[in-house]
Amino acid sequence: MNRQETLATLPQVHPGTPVLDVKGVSLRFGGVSALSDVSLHVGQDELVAVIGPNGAGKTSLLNSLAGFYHPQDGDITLFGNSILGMAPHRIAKAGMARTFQGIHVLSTLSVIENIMLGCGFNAHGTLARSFFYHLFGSREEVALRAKAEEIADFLDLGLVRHQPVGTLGYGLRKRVDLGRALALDPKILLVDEPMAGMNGEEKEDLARFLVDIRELWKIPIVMVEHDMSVVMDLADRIYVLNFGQVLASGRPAEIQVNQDVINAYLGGSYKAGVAT
Amino acid sequence: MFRNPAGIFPLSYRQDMALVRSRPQIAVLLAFLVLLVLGPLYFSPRMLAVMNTSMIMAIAVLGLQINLGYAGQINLGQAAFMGVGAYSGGVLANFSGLSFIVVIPLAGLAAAAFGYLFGVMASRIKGFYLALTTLAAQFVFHFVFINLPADWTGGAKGLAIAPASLFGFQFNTEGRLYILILVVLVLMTYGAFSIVRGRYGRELIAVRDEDTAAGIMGVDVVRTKVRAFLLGAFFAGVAGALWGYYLRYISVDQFTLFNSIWMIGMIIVGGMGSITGALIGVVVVRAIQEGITSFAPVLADAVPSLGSELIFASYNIVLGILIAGSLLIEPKGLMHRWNTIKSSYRIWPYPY
Ligand SMILES: Nc1ncnc2c1ncn2[C@@H]1O[C@H](COP(=O)(O)OP(=O)(O)OP(=O)(O)O)[C@@H](O)[C@H]1O
Ligand SMILES: [Mg+2]
Repeated sequence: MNRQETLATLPQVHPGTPVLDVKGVSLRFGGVSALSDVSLHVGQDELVAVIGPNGAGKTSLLNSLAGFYHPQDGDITLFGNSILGMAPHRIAKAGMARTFQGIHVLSTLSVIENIMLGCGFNAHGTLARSFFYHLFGSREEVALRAKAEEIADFLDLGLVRHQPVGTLGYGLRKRVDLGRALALDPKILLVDEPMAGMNGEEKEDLARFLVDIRELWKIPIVMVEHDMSVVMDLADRIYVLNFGQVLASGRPAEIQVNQDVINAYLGGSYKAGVAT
Repeated sequence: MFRNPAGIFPLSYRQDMALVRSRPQIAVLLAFLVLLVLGPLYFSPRMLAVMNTSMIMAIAVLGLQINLGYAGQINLGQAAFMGVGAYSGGVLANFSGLSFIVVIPLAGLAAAAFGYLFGVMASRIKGFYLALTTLAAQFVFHFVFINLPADWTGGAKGLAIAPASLFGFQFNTEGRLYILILVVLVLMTYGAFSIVRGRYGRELIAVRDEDTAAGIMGVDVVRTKVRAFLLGAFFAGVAGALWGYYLRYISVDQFTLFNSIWMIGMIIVGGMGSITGALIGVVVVRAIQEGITSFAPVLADAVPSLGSELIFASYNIVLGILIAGSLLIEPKGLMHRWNTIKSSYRIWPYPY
């Protein structure tokens, strides 16, 4: 039995168990230590923010969670099962979906097709059957389409559903990326700097989507973000990374007044208690 | 940009996802098919022969389009996969006496099995190195089939194959073969459209465009690359088996690297990542090839100093010019140019 099946067949864990548990993870690239002894956990329904200066290792952390990087030490468990060493697509299917810091969408495909790519993750049709679209393929496609439409509706992408994603602006592309991640029926969602490069209105939209995702999907979210006002508003808990280490963790109010964090990251210009 | 023709408002997802969307489109498609089916009535014998070889080639090119154009996996061995199909089909037909209806798909599967090996390699290597590996397919094919026992494959002499027959009806004239090949081509074209429009098609494109991120998107990258080669080789195998029934004599020299490169040329001319583009590429390139074949002897007569080597030499030159020219002028292929024209027509008079 492979890991994925193990995850699927395991009884649901009791409420106290964290959805995601990262235990003493270290990741090195040659001499560079991207993560050292990082531990964190994410509980059901939590929105956890990971912040820290550029190069602190935030993306490396998400990449390790997604199975894209392979930490040398430590363990990562999803619902109590280790996912270390699993292939990225297996981790995705096991319920950990993420969006990318950069733009990674299929630019020649339409918005709805990009979302359908995600929806297809657990489709059953075989290659041989898909050779005969009208006999065998179309029913599954229509079902995937219906599901993708729901997500497109949720993200206000209905009007551009047929547009190739390559023709869309930056903000919309990021939203397609989010839609594609949601299509994987995630049990936990990781978002890497979702607000970067967006204008105020787009940021507001996205913040609203994240809040709605928590409400409707009832899944925890791990968010890497530089915009402190967004982080302080949305996050239940915050982990601060610095040079690959967890510098501090706690509720937003605690982080804002933490002297180490202010020195290392928030800087002198950041006034405690005022979410600018 | 995708837009419906004026007046077409799909009412269901099924309708909205249909490829042939309006009555005029259906009518044009049907008329075109009827014209094709009636081909033997009005094509000249030469035209009929050209059509037959082109349609067989088109099936292999459809496979290459999936493999190269959709999945982005370079493949310099499509002719070899075709050869494997031709030999498997020929040997199977000769020894088992099975009907072509069974032999052709089995030959496709045999070629797919050969393609599978390269798919597995493609999951480990990319780009230039993959190109070199698929190049090896060409040599492996040549070596293996020339050295297999001569009473199976005919060795260097080649293999004779009995004509395909159905309930005593023999496909032994250009006209009859034309219908057989056309039916298989239509079926394979339908299959190619079916695959690329669905989940597997999107996964192929994900691997092509986002090789490293595709896994995180839930795509099994290794399997998808294997599928790309399986499919590409399956189409080639079907084409190869048809080729055997068409020529009724096959030898390893009919499936050369040169053919593989022509097929890549067809895809570049027609447009990467489009099934229709693959077909257009075949038509355009074959027309140019035939043009050279007709024109070169005339030129050789007029200017005898050029010599009889001219035809083959000019083939090479034209292929080179064609590929370079397409890449310079319309790197996305003729199909893309057509789509641009079509979408600007649909939203006329607005510029976008
Ligand atoms: N694939 C890699 N190979 C080598 N070094 C890497 C690789 N990925 C990340 N690093 C290094 O790991 C460290 C952490 O990088 P990471 O991208 O995780 O930072 P980050 O916190 O996401 O920064 P940013 O806020 O700029 O996105 C950096 O020193 C980076 O150079
Ligand atoms: Mg980062």
